[in-house]
This record gives sequence, structure tokens and C-alpha cells, in this order.
Amino acid sequence: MKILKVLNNPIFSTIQDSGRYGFENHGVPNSGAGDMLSYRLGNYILGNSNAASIEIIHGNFEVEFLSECLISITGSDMSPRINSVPVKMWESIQICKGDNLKFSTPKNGLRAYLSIKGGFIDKEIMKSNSTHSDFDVGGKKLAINDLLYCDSELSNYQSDKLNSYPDYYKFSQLIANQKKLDVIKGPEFNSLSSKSKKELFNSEFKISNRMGRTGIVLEGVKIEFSKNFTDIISDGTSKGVMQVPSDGKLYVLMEDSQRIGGYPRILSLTSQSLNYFSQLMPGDVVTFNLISLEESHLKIKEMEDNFFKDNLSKNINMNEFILTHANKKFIVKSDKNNNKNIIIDGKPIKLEF
Amino acid sequence: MEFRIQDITDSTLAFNFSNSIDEEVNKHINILINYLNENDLNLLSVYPTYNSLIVTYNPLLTERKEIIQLVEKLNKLEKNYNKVKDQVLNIPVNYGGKYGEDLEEVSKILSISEEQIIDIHSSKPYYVFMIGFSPGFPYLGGLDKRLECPRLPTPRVEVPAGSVAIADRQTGIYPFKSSGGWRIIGNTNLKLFDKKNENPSLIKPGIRVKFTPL
Repeated sequence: MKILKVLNNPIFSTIQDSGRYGFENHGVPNSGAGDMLSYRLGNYILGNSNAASIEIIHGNFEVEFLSECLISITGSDMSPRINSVPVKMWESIQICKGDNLKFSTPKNGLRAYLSIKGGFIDKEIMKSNSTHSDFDVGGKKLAINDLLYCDSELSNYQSDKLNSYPDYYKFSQLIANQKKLDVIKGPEFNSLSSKSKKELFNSEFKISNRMGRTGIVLEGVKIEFSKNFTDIISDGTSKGVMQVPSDGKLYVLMEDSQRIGGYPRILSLTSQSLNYFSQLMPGDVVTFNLISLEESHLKIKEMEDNFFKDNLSKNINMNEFILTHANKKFIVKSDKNNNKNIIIDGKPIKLEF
Repeated sequence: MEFRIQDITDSTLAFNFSNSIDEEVNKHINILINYLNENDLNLLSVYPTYNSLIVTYNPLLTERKEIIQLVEKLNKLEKNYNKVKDQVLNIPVNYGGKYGEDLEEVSKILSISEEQIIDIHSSKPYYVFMIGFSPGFPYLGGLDKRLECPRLPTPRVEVPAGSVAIADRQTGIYPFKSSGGWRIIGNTNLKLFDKKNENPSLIKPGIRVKFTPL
């Protein structure tokens, strides 16, 4: 079933899921959502697992819905509006046929995720719906008049319950405030000069303009190796790996990167810090904090417990009434205790004062 | 065969068997991969590099130490390297000029003529150690020592599709337009990758390819 139509030419919006694994021996990169946490939460709110979502990079994305459905918006705040009314992120939103959803410029991160109950249906290639930004191995960059599809039985879902993260509006701040990112040592870390080993952890690195879903070049102190170090033979890499070519710059591999590379792998961002890193924009400044592999695994488990073990339903005592405006009827629900939660026709409204 | 364990990330393990490029080592890794593909550890992926076996896992689903124990166990089993057949695939190549932008510079760096480089490069079949870097990109070992040339100091932003390139003691082909740091000496118009095919890469690890100048 046709579910939405793209109304503009977005800067860079693609279909992504949790990634394409198992084709590395054919040289196929993993792709998938860059901020895996926001992507997963968006689908978790809707009860999906590994569903195809839209990753919106740099904002400026506008769609018209062609049928009823349930959606969620997560990741960076791009001031989403439905029919010109600001709506809340991190909550399920009931969509009616003809609704217009518009994202503006990003406020606090590079990427937002638009997810739909049941997931978008795309042409699955090599067991995934993920799109690669350079290689033609999956979907393609979304453009004006593109139509997206979904399973009508799954998407046409109505619920009295509001699925949301009670504390999760704060996530936006969490993204913006992560300036110190956890890293672990890579295979060639010990080949660094002793000067660089120190400087990596007590100096700042800036996100340069050379950035994309394949990799991000950082600006900062020149990274040097000990005198007896020679080039490595091309070997395994992955998203999060920080490589240093002979120009001494840090190249961070991202989700569309190759899984084999020939530059020394001195550090890697942890799975957790990679989510935050993927939200950074050119000019943002970061520092690195060295932790052990064991600590990183513990943090992955902690994050899973914090975010994916909750009952999402909000049990808020709501007043319900019918509002008539311009000969149209609206079902309005509002919080009995305060007016922080207002839902009009299934859409959580973001109040701006 | 002995290996050392490297954590490339918190969810990518490498079992590194050697510091040099060696066909026997690579064949050993490919046999281990055949065994590992039948495991029940919920691994996300298993693939070979020149001299490493790479495993991607989700630390929430699989304990790192379980993977290590399994690889240690499989590594002790007897291996039969003769199972890998020597199939040779011919690759037609236009060398130099607009097809191989770096051939002239490589000729200067190595102090041998462009014609000699073409002769040496196309003189023998190369063993395919691994596919990677980009979809269908074969890493071919055994490049003649006379053609050993360091990779570019800064990677090129755009390498044309079909580029045949060299770096250190390696040679390979870029099937797609991409960024890359190898020196381009020629170009082939063969379609190396078909995403709709169940086995999308034309060239497979373990076979040999031979370049034929056009």
C-alpha cells in the first residue's frame, strides 16, 4: 500500500534499517542507521523490530501521507510539524490521510528518524533495506515525488494508549552534550609515538567538512607513529574505527565504510559513543576518553537495560473532550494534572511558549 | 596455525594468523570460515582478510570468549587445503593514459618504463585473497617486487569504476566509483558486481585472475 509521497528534494534522506550483514565476503558494507539508538527507539515505540525507517540527514524533508498510519520521530530535533502544528518527538503519532509532515533545519544533531508501524517496504537487497550512499547496493537517496510503501494491515493501527519515553525528550539534550566520547584501543595503538598517545586524550578534535555516511575527517593535532612503524597489510575494519593515513589526520569510519582498509587502526569509538558521534555536525568539537573493552561491553548492556526494558505506555490521567473549530471536530485529550500533554486526534502537540 | 586476537571495535574481533601475505594462511582462514558459518553463536558476520579471520558480533547476543573458544577449537582440526580449486578468470584491461592516470608517475617512482610495468603486471595470474574495500573489489596478492609502490599519501576522493590499481605488494580492481588510496594503472569494463545475484561478486576468494592488456 502507498503510504507517503516525498514533496521536496531533501538534502540527504535514505531508507535504513539495522544494517546489511553477511555479505562482507562479497565486499558489501553494512550501511544501516547511523544513530542506531535513535533508530531503534523510534521502532521500539511502535513495536517494530529491525524495520525500515527513513534517516533524515540535515533536515529539510517534507512528505504527504496517503493513508492512515502510526509513526514516530526520533533523533535530532528538526522541528517537525504536521499540518503546520509542532508535534512531539519520541512518541507515537496517529496520522490521517492527507497529513503533511515537514522537517526544518536540525537544532541539535545531524540525523532524525521517521519510523512507521510495521516499517516501510522497500525492495530488499541482500537481506536488508539499507541504502548505501555511494554504491548501488540497496535503495537510493529519496527525491521529490518518490512514493514509499508499507503493509496496510500493520500500519493501520489505532491505539488508545500513547507510547512514549517519559524522560526521553531529554535525549535531545543528551545528544548535544556528548562532547567526551568513549574509545577503545585499536590493533595499531601501540605503534603511535608516545607524544601522540598522550595528545589523543588531552586535546580537542573538530569535525571537518569532509564528512558523510562513509567517514568523517577530524581536525586536530597531527598524529604520529613511532619511528620503526611501517604500513600495515590491508586488514579488517568496521564503523567506529579511527584510522590515520600518512597525513596524520584522524579518519573515523562510519556505517557505509568498507570492512577492509590499509591504514593503521589506532582507536575505535564504542558502540555507544558512535551513536552520539553520528549526530555531530561540522565545527563540533570532541575529546576522547579511553576505556577498556570490558567497560564498553558493560555500557552496551546498561544502555539496553535503560532504554529497551521499559513499559512504554504512559498512564496519564487524561481529560477528553471534543473541540469544534471551523466546522471540524477534533478529539482533544489533555493531562489532568498539568497541561504538558495535549493530544489532538492522536497527535501529541508540542507546546511552544 | 597460531593466531593473535585483536579487538578492532567492541563488536568486531580479528584472529590474525600472520604478518605477511601468504596463500597457505589465507586458505586456512577460508576453511575455518566454512566451519564457522555452521556455528550457532548468532554471529552477525564472518569474513576473511589477507591474514585475519574477522567476526562481527552483538555483545548482547554473543559472549566474546565463546567466539574465541570456538575458533581455538576449529583451528586445531585437520585442514585440507587441496579442496580449493585453482580457477583462472581473465580480466581485459586498458592500461595507462586516461585509463590509468597514475601509470606515468608509477613509472617515474619505480624508474621502469610504462611498457615494462604493463608486461610485468599482466604476466601471471594472481591469487584472490579477499573481496572488500568496496563491493566486488578483489585483493590480489603476489604483485612482482619490481612494481612495489607506496599508496597515495592522501586518498583520492573519486576513483573511476573499473580502475585497476596497485599499492605496496598488492593489486586490485575498483568495481564502483569510490574514494581510494591505490595508484591507478588501467581500467576494465567487466561488470564485477551484480547486486541481484545470490553471489553478487564475480570474483571470489580463493580463485585466480589474470589481466590481459587490450
